[in-house]
Amino acid sequence: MEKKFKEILKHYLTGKSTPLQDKVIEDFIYNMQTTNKSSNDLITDQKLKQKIRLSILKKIQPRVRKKRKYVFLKSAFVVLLIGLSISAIVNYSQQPLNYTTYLESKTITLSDGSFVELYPHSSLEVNKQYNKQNRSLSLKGKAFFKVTPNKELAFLVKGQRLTTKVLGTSFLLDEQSQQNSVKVTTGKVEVATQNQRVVLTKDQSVYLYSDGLFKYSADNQIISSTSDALLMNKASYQLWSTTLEKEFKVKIQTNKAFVKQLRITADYRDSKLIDILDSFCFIHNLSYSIKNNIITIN
Amino acid sequence: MDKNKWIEVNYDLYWSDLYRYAYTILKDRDSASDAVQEVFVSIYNNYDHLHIQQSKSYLLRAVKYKSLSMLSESSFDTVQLESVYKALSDNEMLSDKEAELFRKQLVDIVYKKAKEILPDRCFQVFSLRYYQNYSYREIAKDLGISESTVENQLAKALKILRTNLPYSVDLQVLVVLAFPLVNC
Repeated sequence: MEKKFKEILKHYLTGKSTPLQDKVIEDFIYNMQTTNKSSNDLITDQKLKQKIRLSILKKIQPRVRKKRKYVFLKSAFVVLLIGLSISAIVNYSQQPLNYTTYLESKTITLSDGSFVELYPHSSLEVNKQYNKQNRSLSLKGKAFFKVTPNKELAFLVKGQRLTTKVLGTSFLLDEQSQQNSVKVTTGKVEVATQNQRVVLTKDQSVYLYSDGLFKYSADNQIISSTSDALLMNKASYQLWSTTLEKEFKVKIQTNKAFVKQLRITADYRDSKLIDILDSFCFIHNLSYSIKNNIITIN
Repeated sequence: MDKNKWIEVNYDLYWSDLYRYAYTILKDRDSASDAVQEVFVSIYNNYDHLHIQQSKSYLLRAVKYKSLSMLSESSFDTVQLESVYKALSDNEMLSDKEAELFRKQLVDIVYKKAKEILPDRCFQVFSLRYYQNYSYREIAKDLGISESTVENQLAKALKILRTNLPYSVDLQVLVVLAFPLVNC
């Protein structure tokens, strides 16, 4: 009987079955469904889901090595790129390479030895001339980069909004978070949008807000840009305060009439807000207080 | 849609349904996992040549064919045999000889299991009733017990077997199939 059924099954699977044989197979499946009480007790939990998913991924993405995050973090040259879309072109071979992640990170070693950890839901494109004529990559999403030094070829990561250029360093580019950002672990990195350019050194980071790039120090304080607007020459208080408000996303107020008459000459580029306020108040013999994002000059 | 994304999205949505469906046919957890996995891998490898309109129905169909294909290369358990028997006999594709052979198979399965798990006295009653065609009265007389005790022991035997036969064989159906000459 089993043999007979398997013969019918063979015809069914090769598309050579008669309508009656088709019906036997369909009836068999129906019988299995109606008499099979034990399948109701089947556990279909996340663990099983993950297990099958991994076995699928293993078969469809054999080229990409996986590595645990903590191994990556141990490296002094880890580059964190958070919140930025970077297009990177790396010449790994004659063909451009594309890497895409879904639920899991991937670790990629480029032909120059540079190291990329591509975060989930991200994609990286490596230029076919990578390490020959350029070291350009395109990124969408988020990735860590540990860049092998090469003074001849700058390492250029293009995101959808931010472009990061380095010679050899490590940084994290993130365009997945609400604020796109680049954080530098070692070395020196240049981050640019269409309108702005910021240079970051060790432990500095930059965030992209709706009104532009904002640079932060290691202690998470904003560092002003290098805009010429911050190079002030006898600027009015009004200009001084509005420029700083825009630069540091704060509100500056005073109820002293004479302060509003002041003329300010100073270079506030690449400086922390605290340093600027200290300097301003010291020169003019004033004091200030900060509550939330409101600065009051007394 | 990019094929990686297609795999990810549809796996997320339907993996549980597909796994259960495969298990229904294959009756084995590992085989069901393999069936689901192989379907997705196959779709990934042939994605550019496929035109999938309805993802869920396509996947269910693919899992059905994959499971049946795997089934064709494995040995059937009792539930699968029972379903095969029913499907073939319902469609009048089973000869008397084949039906008899199947009954003998079932009788053998039940006998082995009964001997293994039933208490001695209970098995004795069960054996006399179904394998030697004794009536309640004959069993009662032979063993020196009342007819109601015979009835109780048989009910007990069927209850134990129902919960212990592999894959929850429907014992009532099985008894009718396997012991058609016995007047229950």
